[in-house]
Amino acid sequence: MLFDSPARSATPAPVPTARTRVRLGRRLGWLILATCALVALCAASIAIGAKPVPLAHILPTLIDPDHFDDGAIITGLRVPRTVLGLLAGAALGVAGGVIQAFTRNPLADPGILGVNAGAALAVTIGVAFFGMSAIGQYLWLALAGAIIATVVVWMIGASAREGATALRMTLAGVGVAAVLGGISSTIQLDHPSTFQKMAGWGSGSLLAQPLSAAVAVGPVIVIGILLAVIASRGLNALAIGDDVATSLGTRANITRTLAIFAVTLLAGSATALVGPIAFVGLMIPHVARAIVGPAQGWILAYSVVLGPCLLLAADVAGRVLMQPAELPVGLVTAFVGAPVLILLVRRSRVAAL
Amino acid sequence: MNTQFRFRKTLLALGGAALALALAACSTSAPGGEDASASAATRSVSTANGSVKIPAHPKRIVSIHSFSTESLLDFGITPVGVEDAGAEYVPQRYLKRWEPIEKVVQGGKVNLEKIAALKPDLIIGVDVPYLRDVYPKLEAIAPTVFAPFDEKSTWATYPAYTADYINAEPKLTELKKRYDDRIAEVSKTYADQLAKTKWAIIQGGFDDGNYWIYSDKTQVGTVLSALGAKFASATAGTPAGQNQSVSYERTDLLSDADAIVYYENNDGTPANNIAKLFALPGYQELPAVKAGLSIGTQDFLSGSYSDSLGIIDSIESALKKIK
Repeated sequence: MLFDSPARSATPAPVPTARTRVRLGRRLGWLILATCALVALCAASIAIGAKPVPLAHILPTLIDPDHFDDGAIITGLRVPRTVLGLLAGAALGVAGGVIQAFTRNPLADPGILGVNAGAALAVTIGVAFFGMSAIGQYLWLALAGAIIATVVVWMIGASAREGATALRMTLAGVGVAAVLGGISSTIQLDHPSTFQKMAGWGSGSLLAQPLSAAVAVGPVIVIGILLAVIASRGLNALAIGDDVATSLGTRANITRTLAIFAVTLLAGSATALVGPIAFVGLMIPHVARAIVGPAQGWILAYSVVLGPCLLLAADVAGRVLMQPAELPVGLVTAFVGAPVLILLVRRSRVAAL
Repeated sequence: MNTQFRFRKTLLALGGAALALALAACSTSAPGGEDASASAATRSVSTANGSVKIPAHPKRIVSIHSFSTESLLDFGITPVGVEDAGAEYVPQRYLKRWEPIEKVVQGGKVNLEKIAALKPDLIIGVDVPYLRDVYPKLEAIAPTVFAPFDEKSTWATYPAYTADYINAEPKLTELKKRYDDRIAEVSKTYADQLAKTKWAIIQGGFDDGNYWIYSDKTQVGTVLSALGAKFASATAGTPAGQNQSVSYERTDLLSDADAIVYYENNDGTPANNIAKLFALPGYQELPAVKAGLSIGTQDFLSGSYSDSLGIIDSIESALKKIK
């Protein structure tokens, strides 16, 4: 039921035809393939890095970190960044899928509700005025900033009688993000060392937080994904138009509220974990739609798998491209992802919303 | 209509105010002319941009780089405007004097209006790319002199050029003698320790996932060389005068170092992102770290003789621990 299209879920279940069965098979087949790719990328993320570690050392090290000298590199660096990549990638992919469906805008990314700007301002204030430098402090500041920014956007967007419509939310989000960005820049200009520290944070890194941060934020991301799944049916209906959706039994306001909650929790957590990483939330839903068409449930399922694929592929590439230095994942994501998006555009596979 | 009229009125009022300001500026520039004639004597000095004519006795100096600022403060001259790269990077010996000075460069952005408002008669800086770009505009405000920033420059370049710009040669000679004497003293006292110790120089950098290895021709490297110290492969292998960004996974590059010098803030905390490097098991396992010979210095990016004397003190604190 979870991945049913709205038309089917709102009408009596149709008798499965050969055609729907083929479509289901194709969607499942690609999803299994994407999951295999993700498993392979996780393995690559643990096996490949700036320091060559013999393949034979990897498994024993995972079981007993002190078995070889390389233990600290595998368990201390590569495992945490792989876990962070999995969590943040899934969160960004799903948040992108929800926000594009919510705004009915294929150019929307999770940052459009002011999430990144709110997180950045909170971290800037913490660093500039409270001398915060501990990694754990950034985490909760960023998450709180993201949530506060979205609540403000929501209050502005929902202040009219017709409620938080997509257009009002988008405009409120763009406006609030611009104001918050301006405040951040002003503070940073007045506190030059904060400017430098924020430049590092702003490029995004899977090493920004330790494994314990992933454990702390992981449940928030799981809740966000669950909310996105619950909202997915309503979003499918909203895609047809508010009136039709209402006649199909969808309560537009509840769906929108759920969607905004989901995006805030997901994008806020991802930004708190790895910094503001663009492009994943924009591109992944396009790839998913190219495969499954406009079925929100399926798009979310694919985004959960494809988001981490892109983030981990970018991170592994960033480790080997400029040896012995590493490129921050935020810089590489667009490098790795853009060719795929361009290919989709060329083959006219970009599905409209 | 009404609003349009009011808007026009505001414009007129603004125009009038601007005219009044311009006239006021003209009238105040006359006595300024007298000042200029009093110190009309000029002389030519050598800069990164060739020979430049500057006042023989500059009174209002704006310094737009930490190297020139620290050298000026070292010579007992307080500029009217300075750069601000972050208060935590200003060595303690200058902090109290640096704090109240007007900040004219922040976050790498040069505030030309602020500089012009300070009415400097000399602008001193260093020929680094972000300052080189604004040189023509600075030159239009006041004579501007940049010390060179090239492969031949060392930290000692900056006190030498700055002394020339402000006629502080006697003070320079005095400071240089103190430095040379201290180098001679420490290299003699700790000759045995220096002979058996290989040094690496690092800082945390700003990009997560990397730390920076510094070459033996950077500030700390130059002081260590003067002491007759030897370098570990990481620092010896880094191109002259530069630093290279290296993955956290490559702490093994520091494994042949007996001592490590890193950048710390003026409150003694590790500067920039290096706390992340310190937290790695790969770093904690290094021989230098285990021996307690990973030492910080707030004078890491020395721009004056006093800073470099500070580097000697930091190095000496490590040498004392070596049996």
